[in-house]
Amino acid sequence: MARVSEMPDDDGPAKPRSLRPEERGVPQGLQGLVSRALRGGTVLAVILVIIGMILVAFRGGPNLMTPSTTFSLVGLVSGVAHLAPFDFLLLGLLVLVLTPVSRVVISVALFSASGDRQFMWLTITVLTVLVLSVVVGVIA
Amino acid sequence: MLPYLDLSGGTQILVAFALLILVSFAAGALGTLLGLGGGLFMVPALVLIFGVEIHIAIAASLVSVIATSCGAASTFVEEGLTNLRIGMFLEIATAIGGLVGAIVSVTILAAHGEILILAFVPVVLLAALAMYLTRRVDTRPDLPPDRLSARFRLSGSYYDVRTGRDVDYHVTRSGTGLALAGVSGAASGLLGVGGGVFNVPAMNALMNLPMRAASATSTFMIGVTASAGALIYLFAGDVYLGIAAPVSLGTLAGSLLASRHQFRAPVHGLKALFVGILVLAALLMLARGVGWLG
Repeated sequence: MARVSEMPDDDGPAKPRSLRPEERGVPQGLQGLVSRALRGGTVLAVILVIIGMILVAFRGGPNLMTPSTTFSLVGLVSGVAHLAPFDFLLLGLLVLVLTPVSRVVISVALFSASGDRQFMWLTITVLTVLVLSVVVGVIA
Repeated sequence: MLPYLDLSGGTQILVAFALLILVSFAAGALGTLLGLGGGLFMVPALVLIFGVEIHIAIAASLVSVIATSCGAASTFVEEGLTNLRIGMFLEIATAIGGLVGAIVSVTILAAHGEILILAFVPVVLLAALAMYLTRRVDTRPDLPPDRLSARFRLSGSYYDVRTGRDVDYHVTRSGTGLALAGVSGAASGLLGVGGGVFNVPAMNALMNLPMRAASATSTFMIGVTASAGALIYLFAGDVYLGIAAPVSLGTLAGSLLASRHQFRAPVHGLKALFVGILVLAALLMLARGVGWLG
């Protein structure tokens, strides 16, 4: 009687199957959170920008050739509270530019929680570059 | 001198908004249909049609590139098409490239817009050439991962809805891929493009990623790449709100609409026409850069 281990494999080559997230080396829940952060940030930015453009239509504003630094971040809060059109535009664009940053922060958190040191440091490096961009921009 | 649309008060603000949205909608739709992203069309359009200063055009384009990337990437990530590990691995290089490119643009080249306009010419021509020549390279299942790729466990898999099969792949030549990602990041920060036109062939033909995974991963990376550049332009004051806002809205809308028809549109028949448009844009930018158009 043939031993089981010697039985020929009748199934043919193994069928390919999708790798589970943990096999891909991605922490549980990362895909969902990153996807939601990207969508949420974009939708929020679009809403703020549309409100800003509607306010421009009703209340007018300075001309279109207004640089971003004319409006201080401190004045942003009171500007938005007073429905200042260009402060809504600035807030919307700020949310947009920071949306990719938010998903890097999420990645750092989940990789470090899952104990993946290698990708934790990798994503921290990316985050550092982004912080450096803000610093350089402020100096320039 | 071309009769530019005057954005600094001569044109009614709502008319200016409408025109900017219309032009960026077309740029976003065209770019997405061709897999080039919106930036490549957006910067020449802002400079040539609206007479916007090149730094302001680049900054507005970068912000709109973020919008397109985030909007599309959220779906790709959800569907598992994006290889998050490769994306984050290559992002180190694209983000550093974006940072360096934007620093060069706002410091050394701050007073030399004509150099940036001229720098656009080879990039646009290269993109036109790449679009014309690039063929989808089939993933070779027999290629083993290289050492770097094995160390960072970059190999991946995605479920192909159209064939109902899982597509597994190993990643090769990741060192060269990383270097190319740095170059593409620098082009992004310097010129306000996403860099997908360089990322996708690099990942597909060089690193052995299937085309769909390559383009989904590139879309995902572009957000961070453009962010590294855009943050510098934003805090340096080059992001003009009244221009960047309508341009971002228009590009996002155009790209979202085009992505629904991406696989149905007769892209191949239109390729030659769009290559023509790109070459024309390059020639006009060249003329502008050397001062023939004022």
